[in-house]
Amino acid sequence: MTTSLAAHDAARGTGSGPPVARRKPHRKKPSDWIILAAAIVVGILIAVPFLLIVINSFKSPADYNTGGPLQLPTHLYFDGIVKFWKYVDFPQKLWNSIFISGTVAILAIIISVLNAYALGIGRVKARLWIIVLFLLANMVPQEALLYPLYSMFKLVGLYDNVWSVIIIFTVIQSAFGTYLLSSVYGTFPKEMSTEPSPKRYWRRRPSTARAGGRHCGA
Amino acid sequence: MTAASTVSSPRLKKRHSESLLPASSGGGFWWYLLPGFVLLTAIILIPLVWNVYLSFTSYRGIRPPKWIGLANWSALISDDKFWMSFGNSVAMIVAMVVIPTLVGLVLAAMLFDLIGKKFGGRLASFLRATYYLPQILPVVIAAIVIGWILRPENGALNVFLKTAGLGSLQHNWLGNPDTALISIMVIMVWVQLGYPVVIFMAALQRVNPELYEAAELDGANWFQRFRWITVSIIRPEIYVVSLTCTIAALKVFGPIYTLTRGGPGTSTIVPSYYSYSEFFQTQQVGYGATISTALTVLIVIVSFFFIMAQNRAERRES
Repeated sequence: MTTSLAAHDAARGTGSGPPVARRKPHRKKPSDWIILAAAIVVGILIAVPFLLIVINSFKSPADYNTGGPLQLPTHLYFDGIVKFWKYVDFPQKLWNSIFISGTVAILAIIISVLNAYALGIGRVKARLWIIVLFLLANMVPQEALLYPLYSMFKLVGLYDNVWSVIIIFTVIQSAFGTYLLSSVYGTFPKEMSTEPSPKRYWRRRPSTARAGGRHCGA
Repeated sequence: MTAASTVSSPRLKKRHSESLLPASSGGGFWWYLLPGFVLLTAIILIPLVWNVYLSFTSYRGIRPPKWIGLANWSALISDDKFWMSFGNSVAMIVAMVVIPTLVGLVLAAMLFDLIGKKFGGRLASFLRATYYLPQILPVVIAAIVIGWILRPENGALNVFLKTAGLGSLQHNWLGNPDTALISIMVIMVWVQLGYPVVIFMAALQRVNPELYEAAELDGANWFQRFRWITVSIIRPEIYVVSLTCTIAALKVFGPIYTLTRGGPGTSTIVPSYYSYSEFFQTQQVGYGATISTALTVLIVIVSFFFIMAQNRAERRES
């Protein structure tokens, strides 16, 4: 199994297909095409629900009843989409979504950078445990916070308000940001710290860090 | 860079704390944690403690909670529905962690190793993007789409089976206790698969091709190289993917809520949906808090053991 020519051939980065008589090593073998076909079939299976949705969202109800879900629409029908757009007041929903996600992104980044500065650069004591504590926000099932948060936001009058969602998701998202950024900040070059200010470090970098820099580059 | 830092760091450590900035001692940095801590306390820690407290009370949401000690917890231990929900969590772990990670590994290696190299990187990226499609859908939307496809009367799957001459295979996929859980598992595999593929393909960039060539010369076959080179080099990513997906599988709520509401009967119930229904449908807030506390404890324990195992594996490697 290990040294036969056939096994070698199969080892050529190809795949689990049966070893085929060897041609030129960089040529595509039949087994390569089989694997490619398999990968494409997987892709089609994954994409099929999307295709079905696209086909059927342009079908009139009558068309759906006669032709079923698999047929192409007999004519393009936009009423469904127009009706939906008006009925659920889609622009308002979209705006809420943009407003909430945008605000959460900005606030969560601010909190994450502040946290990560203390944890990654400041290296405060017990930082591992602090990171785990923050990650708790990610781990806890949201049902475990549900009722207390519901009562709390009702108490302060923020229930039924986008800001309650924004505050909760700022905390949950900043947990991941804290974890990610503090491990990145922890790898900043330590020599940065021998300068009184980061600005001067970057200005003087060529003279102080040249030897090291070359070390790295090579 | 390395030379300079190794020279200066021992001196630095003696004079100051571990901080990367010498001017300030560790104490000054605590202020930066303040906003994060306040928010974490208000949004996570207090509700968490409150929830644990509620698990020892009888509370219907109107009159103040009444302390009943361990009654909820002893009811939980003998509650078949609760154990059923955890059994289904295991099924969710199979569908959201085990299968996507294993299949994702093979697909990522296939796309990277073979299709990327022999048929061009463009095709590999295109296929990767296709696999990732379900991940960009909000899970609730994905569930609605699939629910419509699985509809018993004129749903796309049943119509397809009928036109293919397999009419006898038609089912009420989500409405029948025998097929509901399996259907949800297939849906979750569909949803999850793209995530490991994308992460693993990024990780594979790190693998030095010379290692493969050396192994090839030593006569290792594809599977041996896959097992001993690919898998061992991208092991950190495998840990990250399986941990995050395990947490997600234990917490899964959206698809169950949109597709089956735990039914028919209790055949697809999961702990998070069970606690939700106790909170807001039967108004047994104390009991709902007990279920969610049990789930939290389980997730924390699982994460702890994962991280321990990962640390041990890393230490063994170095």
